[in-house]
Amino acid sequence: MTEKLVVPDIGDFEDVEVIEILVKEGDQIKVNDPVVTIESDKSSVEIPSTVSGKIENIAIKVGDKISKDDLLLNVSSSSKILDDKSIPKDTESIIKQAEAAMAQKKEETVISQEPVRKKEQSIIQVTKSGDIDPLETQDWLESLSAVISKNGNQRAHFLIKELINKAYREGANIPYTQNTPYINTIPPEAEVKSNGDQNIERRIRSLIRWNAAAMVVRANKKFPELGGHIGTFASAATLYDVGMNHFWRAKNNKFGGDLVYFQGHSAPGMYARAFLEGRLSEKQLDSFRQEVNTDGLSSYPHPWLMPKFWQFPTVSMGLGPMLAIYQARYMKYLINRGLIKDEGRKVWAFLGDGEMDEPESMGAIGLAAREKLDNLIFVINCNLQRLDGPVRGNGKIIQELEGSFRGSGWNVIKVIWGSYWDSLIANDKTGHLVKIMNETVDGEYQAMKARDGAYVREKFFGKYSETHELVSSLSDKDIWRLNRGGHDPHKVFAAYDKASKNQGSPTVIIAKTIKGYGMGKTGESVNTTHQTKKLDVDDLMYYRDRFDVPLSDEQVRNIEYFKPDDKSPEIKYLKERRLNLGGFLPERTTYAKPIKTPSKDIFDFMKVSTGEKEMSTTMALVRMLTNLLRDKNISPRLVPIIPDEARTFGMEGFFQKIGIYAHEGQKYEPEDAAQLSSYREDKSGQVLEEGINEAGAMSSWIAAATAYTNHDIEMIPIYIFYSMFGFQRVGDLAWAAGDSQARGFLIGATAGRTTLAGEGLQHQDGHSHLIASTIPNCVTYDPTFHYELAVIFREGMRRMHEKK
Amino acid sequence: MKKNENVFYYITTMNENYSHPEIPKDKKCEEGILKGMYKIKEYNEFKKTKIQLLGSGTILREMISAAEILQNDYQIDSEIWSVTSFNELRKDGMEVERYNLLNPDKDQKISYVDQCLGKTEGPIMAASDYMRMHSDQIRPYTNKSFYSLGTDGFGRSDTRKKLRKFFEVDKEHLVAYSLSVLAKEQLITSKYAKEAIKKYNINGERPMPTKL
Repeated sequence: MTEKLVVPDIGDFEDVEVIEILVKEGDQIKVNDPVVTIESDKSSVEIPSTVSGKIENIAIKVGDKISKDDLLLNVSSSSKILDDKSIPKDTESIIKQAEAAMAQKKEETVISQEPVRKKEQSIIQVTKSGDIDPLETQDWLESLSAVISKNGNQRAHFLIKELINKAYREGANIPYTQNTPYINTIPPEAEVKSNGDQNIERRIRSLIRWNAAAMVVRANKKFPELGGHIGTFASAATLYDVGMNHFWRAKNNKFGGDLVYFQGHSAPGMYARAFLEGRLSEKQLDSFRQEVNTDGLSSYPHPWLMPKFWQFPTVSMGLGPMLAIYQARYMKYLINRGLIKDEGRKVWAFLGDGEMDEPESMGAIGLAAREKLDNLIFVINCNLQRLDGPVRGNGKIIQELEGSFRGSGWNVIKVIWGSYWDSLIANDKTGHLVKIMNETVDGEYQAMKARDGAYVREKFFGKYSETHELVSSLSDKDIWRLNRGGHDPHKVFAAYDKASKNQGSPTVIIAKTIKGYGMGKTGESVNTTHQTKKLDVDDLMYYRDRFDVPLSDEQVRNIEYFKPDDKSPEIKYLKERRLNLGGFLPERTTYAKPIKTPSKDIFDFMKVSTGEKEMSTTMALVRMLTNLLRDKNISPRLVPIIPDEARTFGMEGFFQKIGIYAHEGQKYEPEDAAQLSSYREDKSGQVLEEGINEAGAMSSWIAAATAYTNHDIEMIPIYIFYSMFGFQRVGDLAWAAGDSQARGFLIGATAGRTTLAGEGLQHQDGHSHLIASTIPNCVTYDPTFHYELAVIFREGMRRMHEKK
Repeated sequence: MKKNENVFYYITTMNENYSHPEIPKDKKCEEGILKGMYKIKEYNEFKKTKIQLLGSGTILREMISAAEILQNDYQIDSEIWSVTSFNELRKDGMEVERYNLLNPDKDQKISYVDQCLGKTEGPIMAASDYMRMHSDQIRPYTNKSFYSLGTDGFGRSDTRKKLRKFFEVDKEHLVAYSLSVLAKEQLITSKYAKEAIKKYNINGERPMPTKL
């Protein structure tokens, strides 16, 4: 039988020109094969076939103007082929979703059947001011305790949720708080224990601490202008070490590797570890911040300066967290598009509590939860201090962050108190200790750590007679030893373990630490810690004693590094741990294969005159990309990134052809489903439609533009934006892209101060090229004609992506 | 095997519709496009006075129209250069100048800008849809007289034609500026410039667009 293929609904356009016919009479075609390309003055789209069979005749020719329902082809199809019709994509995805939903329900049932954990003690909250009937309160709390011990936490949580819902329906519009008490999220009895040798790990950590501090002090003794930081790493050493010894898997020929965004200011700690691993020499440590003439070490993580070591530039505050989120999202994109295997790789990002004040730091956390990035783990090192003073002197940064992240849908793990606190908290029958913990502000917490045990006894435990009594048997020294969670390897291990196993949401670990941990009176928890780069002899002696570094007084005076023999248990242990985890970190390598050269005709059509036909260079670019999408080698590697302006640029044809990436597929029928360029979302979609979000789009572009090293796959990202909202808006990210050795195309569309006519002052760009010229490895062009664009783009692909 | 280069590309594209010619037959054209400039057209009928016109982006088309007027109405010859990248030209110029200064005893290299323009006739006038500083970047790399036009100042909403008039990069202003440049270089008398300024209703006392 003969079937007619007619022009589908093409939206608001009529009399649109046929510019290309992609089939000929006698061809066999399948559903979704592109048949013709049509082009209005704004957009160019391919019309796909809706039938299968052999083309009997073609009813149109190039140059014809066509509208909806015009005949394109007659196709002869056997009924067999018709029967063969595959299930439409949407139906297929609906079935899949239904199946997934059922599986999920099953999982939930399993969770609720989890054996009930007997809780020995439960914390009873202290009477609050505003409690008009404490006895009634007590009744409710006891009922709750009974439910917990009988049916478990899940049931208790369910009941609380129901109560709140009921209250809400009855008109009590008081939202459920996002905060939990100021104690660890993981109770001691639920902590997973490390199988590591804690003594040897402490010795290794102490050596890394010592060498990290020594390299900064030595550099500044030589040249006081060099600067550097001791305090940041000192506060984060345990956080890094637990990861290095037990969690972070390196890239090797069997595994893609976890991606770790190290906090910029803690770079000396990474160098100190690489020194023990034998990857850096003593001479190199002595060249910290002296990169010009020697094989020096960069001040902060800079892949441009240490291309075999650093993977991610993180020191521009706030960019690390955002880049990490989009990196995790891009990893899922590659997996969902079938370009890399799902190996359970993780993205870890280390951030500072002060850094979280950058809007960029928190700006994308909603996306991370929405996209269910369970491959992402943030570790926020809360040492309570920024450069000038406390991060939140009058409040509590940990509680604030907890609320923001939980409110955005993250899995939050607070690591506040170390193991020495466990028994005190367990014995806090009246709840007064937790009450003090909740009431004490960060300014006080910081001040206490700058003093001593007696001060803490008086100012902290002394607030209530109950808590004063609680520590009556402890000496001042014991009180001083009460540690913070971020310095306790057991607590950190348990948190990392839980984070690694979390599914369905990103995790943030909020760890409380002390800035300048172990630096003594000069540097511990004092407002000037961040700038500390010199330690006098007394401080150094204190530091040595504090961490039992086996150096003589003389060696300390000379600020010698300490590296045990390669056969020592410490070095053997350290290397063995890394061997078990696949190799060393950080390390930057690339094994990506170049992309095959595209065929010449893809560009040749742009070298002939367009005749009478007028078009913009944006349009010419879209036509070129449409052609590139037909090249089977190039097509899968193209990553079009658009911040909600696809229609402005005439790119809506891409929606149907390659789909918009959406990790959940498309759960609805789009309003324009009947149209040719309907808004098609797909789990394996190719377009990254970022919404009105240039910073996010640029972060995605950087992830794609560095996939050749982070995922060993060469990709061609093309980020198209209003030229005015490019470098001017995301200049710092563009700078980071240069540092990262990004490869790809940035297209500043609707460019030119007088060419983008009606839009006015904020939109008309007359300087983006000048900003672009500040980045040394950015190559820029302002072409006029289509053939110029073709020659430039072709050469860009050759230089960046193809085999030489 | 040479490694893939760690560079990234920034290319501007426009939304103005116009027809596009075929690529010039000259074999060196593609090389010029990539290096940053190539000659796209030449008017050579009168062989009296000549000017070098450099245009970039959409303003190249204004420059081509201006050259036609200069030829037809004023008997001025010109060579029109499509500048695809002032930035790339500057990079080459910097590198060549640096090398020459550090190697005074060796054969002196010639910047690509100078290779293109060094032996041409007449002063140079450049214009783009960007600030003057954009085209000014190549000024140090040629010894010839060099004038820049551009869109310095805040943009505002209006038609392309009016905006180009406002920023003085439309074909009429380009003609008037060309004639004035040639007069300043004492290649023609100033009466042509005065005439053109009057003809196109250009007000010489108008404040700089950066102040408007």
